[in-house]
Amino acid sequence: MIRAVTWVLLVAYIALALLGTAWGPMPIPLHHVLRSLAGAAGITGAEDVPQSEQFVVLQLRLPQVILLGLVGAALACSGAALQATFENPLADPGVLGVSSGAALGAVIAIHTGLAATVFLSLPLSAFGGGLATALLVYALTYVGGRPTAHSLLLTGVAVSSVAVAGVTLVMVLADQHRVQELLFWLVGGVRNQTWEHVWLSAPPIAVGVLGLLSLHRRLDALLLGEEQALAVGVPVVQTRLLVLGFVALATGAATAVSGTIGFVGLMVPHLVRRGTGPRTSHLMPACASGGAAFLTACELLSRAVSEQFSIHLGILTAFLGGPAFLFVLRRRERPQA
Amino acid sequence: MTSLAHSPVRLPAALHANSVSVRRDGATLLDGISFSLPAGSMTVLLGPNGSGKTTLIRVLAGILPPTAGSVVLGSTPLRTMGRSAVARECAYLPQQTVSDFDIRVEDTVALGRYAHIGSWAAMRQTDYEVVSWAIERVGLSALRHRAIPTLSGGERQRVFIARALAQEAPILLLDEPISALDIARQIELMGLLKELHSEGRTVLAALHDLRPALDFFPNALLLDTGRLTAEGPTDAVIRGHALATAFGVTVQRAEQICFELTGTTEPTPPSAQ
Repeated sequence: MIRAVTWVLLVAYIALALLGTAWGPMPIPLHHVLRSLAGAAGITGAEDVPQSEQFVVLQLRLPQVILLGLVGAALACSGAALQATFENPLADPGVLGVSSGAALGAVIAIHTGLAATVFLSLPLSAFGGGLATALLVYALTYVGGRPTAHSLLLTGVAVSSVAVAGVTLVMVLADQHRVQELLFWLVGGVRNQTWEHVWLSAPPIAVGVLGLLSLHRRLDALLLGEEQALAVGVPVVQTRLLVLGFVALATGAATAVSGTIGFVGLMVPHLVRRGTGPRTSHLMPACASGGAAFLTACELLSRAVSEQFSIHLGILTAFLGGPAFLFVLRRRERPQA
Repeated sequence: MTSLAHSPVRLPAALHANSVSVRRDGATLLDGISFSLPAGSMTVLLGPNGSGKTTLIRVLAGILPPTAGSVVLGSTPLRTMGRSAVARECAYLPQQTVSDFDIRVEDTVALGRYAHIGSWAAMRQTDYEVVSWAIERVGLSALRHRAIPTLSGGERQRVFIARALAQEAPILLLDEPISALDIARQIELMGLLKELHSEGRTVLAALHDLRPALDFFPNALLLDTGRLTAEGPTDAVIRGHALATAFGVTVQRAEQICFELTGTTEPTPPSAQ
């Protein structure tokens, strides 16, 4: 079930994550990082590591690299599941409107001042916005008649653009000094995020990703098309709704702590699929570790590019994702044998 | 080499359509259709394009619930059975679809086991044996690791027949199984279907082409704009008035041109790798 590719990507993620805890505006020797981690885990003492370094490693950078892993895994697994569900290699979590709905929830919380007064109200509003958008997409699709792959996809795209317009509207209305803060939700990242964000996002992401993985056989059947899936006995409509529910959970939680990070859900499954093949039980674990490794690598890259001002993570993934999207399109248009 | 877990064919139950109607968006796709497929029969479902063949096959496979009327398997209405329970009795082969994903032959055939093991259980030894047996049965053992998009049309159709066999359903419902194939591949595939029929399975295939219907199927049903307008021995149905009305043609000459395989085999396209 778990392929060599998965292990390689997992090791890559762990290596990148260690690098991410050591490297930054205040570089920390790798053995100090390891000692701090061992100390925190209670394996050995870490008395000889300066308190300031321990604080940076354990309280600032470690939750960030863990979040990068969680968010990358959530987005990549959601993308892989949506591509199978919609029989469409170009589907990704963005098309459902979950990410943009979460962004809208967040910017409204900031704009109304709720975020500044109530603890954790910001990520919770984002999460609520994402789930509400997913429910709206469901409801609209059902009102329109049969919830086919196409009608869901189109409804998601339409609702998503309305949500993005809402985010932009709030930014236009906002005070100058708040624009930076609001911008975070359009082009996300994990800087300044803390352990609270990890505890908040880990359970829904775990439930979402494991839920998608549990549907692996149905997703495999859907790869061959809806008719083939129905023919072997898969309840297609129910499966589609379950997939959307798990994706909304994972993507909503990921967006709540990291803002909108585009293209990971599109790109990672396509790259990983070349190593694992399309079977969901092989693909999904590799997507989880691949997404984690990719996002962590992007964060390191953004740190390398600029030390003074922060290049948002979401900008980098989109810069890399755009060309990847074009590559996938070209490959799709290649005549079939 | 894998062992041949020969699964003896369970005796199929008769499949009855009772006044089946399907309406959608104000259009009547099927209009009060009644007939029976006796256990172990081999029948062609004829009709011009748009006459409702696909709709009827989907209703018989339990995928599309009829607006009115019912489909009864033996004495059990399909609507009272779960999807997997129906799939264990009736294997449906949709018209050829092309997938963008490079899913392999054996993984495709293994999907036929879904109705037996469900979403969560792991494949057991017997499931793997049935999959190997099904692949071998349709003569694709050499290609079992190949991706579906790299196969030729005839090979791909065999993969889906193997998938249906892995389902171990005694009733095969096929939608245009040979319409995309050249004459030699048609004869090969029909030979395979005849063998499966002679082992006791019920076979129903929708065809819009009259020639292979006459050559291979003893019994015929004729659909004309959603109504069943003729049934009986294929020869009589094809010479009948109803067919002339449905297709807008009459049979002029009865003498047949017979094709026979000369032994050339279908070239397999080179692997993508």
